[in-house]
Amino acid sequence: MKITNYTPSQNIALAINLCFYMNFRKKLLALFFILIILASIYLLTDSLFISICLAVSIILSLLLFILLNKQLKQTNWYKNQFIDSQKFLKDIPHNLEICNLGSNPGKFAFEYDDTLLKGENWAIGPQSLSYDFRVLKNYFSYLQDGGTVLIAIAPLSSCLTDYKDDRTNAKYYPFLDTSLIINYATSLNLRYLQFPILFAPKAVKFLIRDIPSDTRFLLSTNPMNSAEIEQDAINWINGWKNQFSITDMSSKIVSEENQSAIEYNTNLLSEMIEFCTVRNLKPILVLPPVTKALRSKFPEIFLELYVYSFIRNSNTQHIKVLDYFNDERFTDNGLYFNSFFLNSKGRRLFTNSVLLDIKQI
Amino acid sequence: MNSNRVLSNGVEIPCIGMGTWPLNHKNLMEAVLSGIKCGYRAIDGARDYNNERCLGISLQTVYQKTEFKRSDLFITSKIGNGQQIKGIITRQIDETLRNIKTDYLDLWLMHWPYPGYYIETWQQMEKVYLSGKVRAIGVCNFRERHLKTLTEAHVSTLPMINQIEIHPLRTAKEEIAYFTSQSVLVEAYTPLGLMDKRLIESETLKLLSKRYNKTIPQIILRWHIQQGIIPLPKSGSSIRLKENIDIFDFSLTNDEILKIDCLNENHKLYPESKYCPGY
Repeated sequence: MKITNYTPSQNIALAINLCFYMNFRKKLLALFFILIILASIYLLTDSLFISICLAVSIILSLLLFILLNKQLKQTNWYKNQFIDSQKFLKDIPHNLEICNLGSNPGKFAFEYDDTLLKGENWAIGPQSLSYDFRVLKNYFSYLQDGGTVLIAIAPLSSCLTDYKDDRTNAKYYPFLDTSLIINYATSLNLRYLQFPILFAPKAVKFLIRDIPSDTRFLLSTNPMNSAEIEQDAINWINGWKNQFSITDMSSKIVSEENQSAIEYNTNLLSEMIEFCTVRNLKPILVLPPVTKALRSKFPEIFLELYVYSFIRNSNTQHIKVLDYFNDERFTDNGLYFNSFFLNSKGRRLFTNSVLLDIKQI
Repeated sequence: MNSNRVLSNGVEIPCIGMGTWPLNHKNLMEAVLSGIKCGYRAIDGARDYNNERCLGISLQTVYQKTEFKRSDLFITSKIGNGQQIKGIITRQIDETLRNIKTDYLDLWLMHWPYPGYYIETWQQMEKVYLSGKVRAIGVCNFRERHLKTLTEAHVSTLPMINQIEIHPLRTAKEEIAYFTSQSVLVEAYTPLGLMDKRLIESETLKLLSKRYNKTIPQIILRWHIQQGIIPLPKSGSSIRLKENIDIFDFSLTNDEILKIDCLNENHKLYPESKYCPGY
């Protein structure tokens, strides 16, 4: 997906240019298509004038449809859905020394540009551990022999299982092998990726009033004040409580559903670690930091039940775990852009700290 | 030096072959015809190249237009991931034989060690081998761990060939040493490294090219041959095809081979997991 914003008039010009520069086979095919339409209508109406008029309107409607679809694919509404695909669609450097996986906490925690290492941030937000593994399976050959794989673990990573809805899985269509995508179907590819206008006609409204582009990755300061950060932390906690049906964060009882998800993810993480070691890669588990406001909302018992015991049980190979969840170096709100995710300043500081800590292992 | 190599089951294989991907239709037909005319006897195809039928027609043309018979040629095909998933491997070989219009293959390879399937595929390939429809069986893109998995599965026949990506930017020394030690012959796909800029501009290769009055691709192919690797260069041009096989009138010294080895960057042009997830 090329990120270029064209105006509607530029689009029309492009379409006309395309007609002229189409290769001979395509031109022939287009001509054949037009003739078929014309002949069919002529056979039905027996009037050349009506046939030509109808054929012209059909072709114009088709052109309009193509142009609107193309325009829709250039909206922020569409691009934001596939924003994380870009890093896989560019030329990925070979022989990477390091990569990281993870959901949003991983995505906003690592950046290797300022380091001396050849690294790639392969985290996608939001993402389950299951898809972390799928991304790794598809791209690990870009890592050098002995390369490092940072597996970012978020507070609720253990509870998130495979996505059931097709729309969430659709974000993997541009860059994951089809065999790795849950419920992959060509029809869904057409629906969500190729022809959004056909299957999400309401989205046409974004052609008139688009949503803002997702620029969170570029933020270098925290636009929230302390009160807003506190409220944001509460919102996150409430969201998780709602998503995972947790009524009391301090409860010693884990619901059957969450317990089963934790067991599933324990096996998965264990398998991921083994996958790396068998392929001579060095996996390291990393718990990225969060603001003090958010950290304070997690009772110790919750962290033990949902995070630390999950890591202990998965880590049968005793790989290194780097825990920054309580790290005092990253408590400054200015390192984040909300209560949860690091901004570019925090990201650089954090990545360098992780690399230094790895060196000392 | 232009002699055949011998597989672990005694079958002879030419020391250089011609690749066929991504040639198709007229290009493939012309390449096969001129390739055979200028000396190639081994032709490397695959079901996933989507040109198997065209290869069959090309070979028919060769038999009709030249004095060469089927028995003069060494024909290879590969079973792809899609066919591995479908299963019924024994039927897949019949389809390949129909496509290539022959009643046997000289070599049948597993294109990728597709996770979850490749052991079963190999066991089925062994049955096909015993049936006589193929004279030899082998694998592609195998690493040491894949071969060990096969051994642990107590298969009765070990692969006779492993076809992997080898060129001066990816010398794969450890893999070559390991598979050679297991009596598995190594073939090289993309043997010229797609003539990457780093190869074209390499002072070492330029110097050797001048010294032997050979082109850089010829120097690289000679480097393969002298290591006992079977290179499978592909070209649609009859001039290049001829050039690529005109490498048996000179020899590189051990020192020169080592100098080419030094170009290694372990650069994979085809990162395996991209083509075979979970590889």
